[in-house]
Formats: sequence, C-alpha cells, structure tokens
Amino acid sequence: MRNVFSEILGGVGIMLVASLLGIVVNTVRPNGVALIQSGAPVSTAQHAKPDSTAGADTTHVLAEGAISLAETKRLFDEGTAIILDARDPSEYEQGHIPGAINIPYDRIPEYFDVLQSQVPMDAHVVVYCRSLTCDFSDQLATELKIIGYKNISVFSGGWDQWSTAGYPIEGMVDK
Amino acid sequence: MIGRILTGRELNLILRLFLGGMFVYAAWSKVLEPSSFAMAVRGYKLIPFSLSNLFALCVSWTELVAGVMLILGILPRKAAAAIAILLVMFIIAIITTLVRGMVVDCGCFGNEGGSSTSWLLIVRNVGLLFGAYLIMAYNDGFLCVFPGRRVAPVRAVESRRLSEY
Repeated sequence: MRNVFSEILGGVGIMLVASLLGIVVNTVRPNGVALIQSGAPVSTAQHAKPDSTAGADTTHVLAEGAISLAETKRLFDEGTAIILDARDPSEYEQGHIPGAINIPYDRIPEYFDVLQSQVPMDAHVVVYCRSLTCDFSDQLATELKIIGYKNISVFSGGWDQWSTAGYPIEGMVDK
Repeated sequence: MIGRILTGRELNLILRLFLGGMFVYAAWSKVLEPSSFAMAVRGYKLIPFSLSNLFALCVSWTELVAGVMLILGILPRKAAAAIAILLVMFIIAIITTLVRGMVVDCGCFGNEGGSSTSWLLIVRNVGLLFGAYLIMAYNDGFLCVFPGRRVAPVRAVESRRLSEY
C-alpha cells in the first residue's frame, strides 16, 4: 500500500502543474475566463424571507431585478421583452407563457446555441420558473449575467401566478 | 488466475489507453470552452461562486494532462493517481447532488453529453476508479515513454500477496 500513497502524492503534483498550465494558457488566450468570478449570483427567490411576509404576497417588496405579475403582463402585451422559461422541457411542454423560450436552468450549456441565435445580447430578458419558491430562474439569470446579458428581470411569481391569473397560455393544458 | 490478469501488463496497457483516451476526450471541449464547463460546475452548488471558473480550469487541465501522460506512458502511475483523485471528487460531488435531490447536468464530457447526475454515473466512476487503482499499483512501465521509478520492488511481493487470496 505504501507505494500507492507515494503515487497519490505524485498525482497531486501533476494536478498542480496541470492547473498552473491551464491558468497560464487561460491568461494568454484571447477568450479566457476571469479566474476569480466577480459579482454575486442573482437572488430574487422569496423563500428566504421570514414566514410573516408569506401571506402578503401582493405587497412584498421585490428584490432587485425581480418584477411583479402586472409588470410581466405589461411587458408581454407590449412584446418588448424576450421571455425565458427556466423549467424542465416536460413542464414547459405542458404549458408556458406564449412565446416563451425554454432554457432549462440546469442545462444551459446545451441550450447555448438557442440563446445565441434567438436572444440578442441587448434584449430585455424576463426569466421565470415554477413559483415563488423556485430558484431556477435566479440561477438562469445569474448565468445570463455572466454570459453578458445586461437587462435581465426575474418574474418571481412564475408559472403558478401567471396561470392562476388566467392570462394566455400555450402548450398542452387547456385551462 | 483472475489476479494474474488484473495485475498483468496487457490489461494494464489497455486500461492506460482506455482511461487516458477517455479523459483526453472528456477534457477536450472543457478546455476549449471553459465558461460552459464552469456553468456545469456552478450547477452543483458545492464550491463558492467566485471560484467556479478557476476550479473548472484546474479540473479540465488536469484531465487533459493526466490523460495524455497515461496514453504516452509518462509517469503513468502518478498520472493514474491524479485521475483517481478527480474520480473520487466526482463521485462525492455526484452523491451530494443525489442526496440533496437535485437534478444537475453532470458536465462529464463538456457540453456534448448532457446527461444528468445519477447512481449509474457513480457506478461507472467507481469502475473507472478501480481501473486507475490497477494502474497505480501494478504498472511496470511496459510500453511507457518514461515509466518513472517505483518506490518498492513490488512485482514479486504483489503477486505473492494476490496468490494468497
């Protein structure tokens, strides 16, 4: 067993050298990434709030970047924003805000092409997911921010609020 | 008999090429597109947000360098050890997502696979880990460019130990 341990030590050495090499190449190449990611993740999820505010959904102060149902409806009617659905494709297929583009929050790399071809960098993007307690939309908004999108809003009420409000929907469910 | 096959140089060579090839393949798209792999890393929600890019770089480059070293036979036992450390990290990371009930893009092969974390992935990684262990413990430098020095003369000792099973 003793020699296996010394190999592991060597393995750690290889990791260090390889990492260093990676960092050097990353700084030299033109499209390298920032080594230390600045900026905090977007967080508009309401589930971190104390329970006392839970009953007052219509009056609570929305976190920065978060928009209300009414605001989302206004943007939807005007057609000035691109709406992204951060949920699973299966949930999206069952029903979504008309015209919304499905970008599952956990598979953004796969949907990179869709993003690049359909969502211009300078567009106003509205992200939503299931409901107030779901943070998929925050995560998607965070990634979009890193990619370079500037104008991102999170509709924190999500699909639940939209569909119960009786607004138009698209998909398999007829309500 | 099985012990002799497991410790034999033929299987060791096959394992080296297989593991090395697999890791170079896995590393390729991650090295080319570090930002997309960093997204997968952030999906696990295990390391601080600010360090996700750096972590993604370190992991992908270790995969690439260790994989190339395995294929060419440059310090193959140490390269296998580096891969084993990565595999242990991956196994732990995947287990935590399953325990937390999260569905996460595993990021295993960059953005090409798109498979989510699952128990099957853990089984696969444990299998790969065993392969890496066999290289670490029994590689004798067969068809290696630079096998490196062994710490102890193991071949005789190891084969005796295995025959006791």
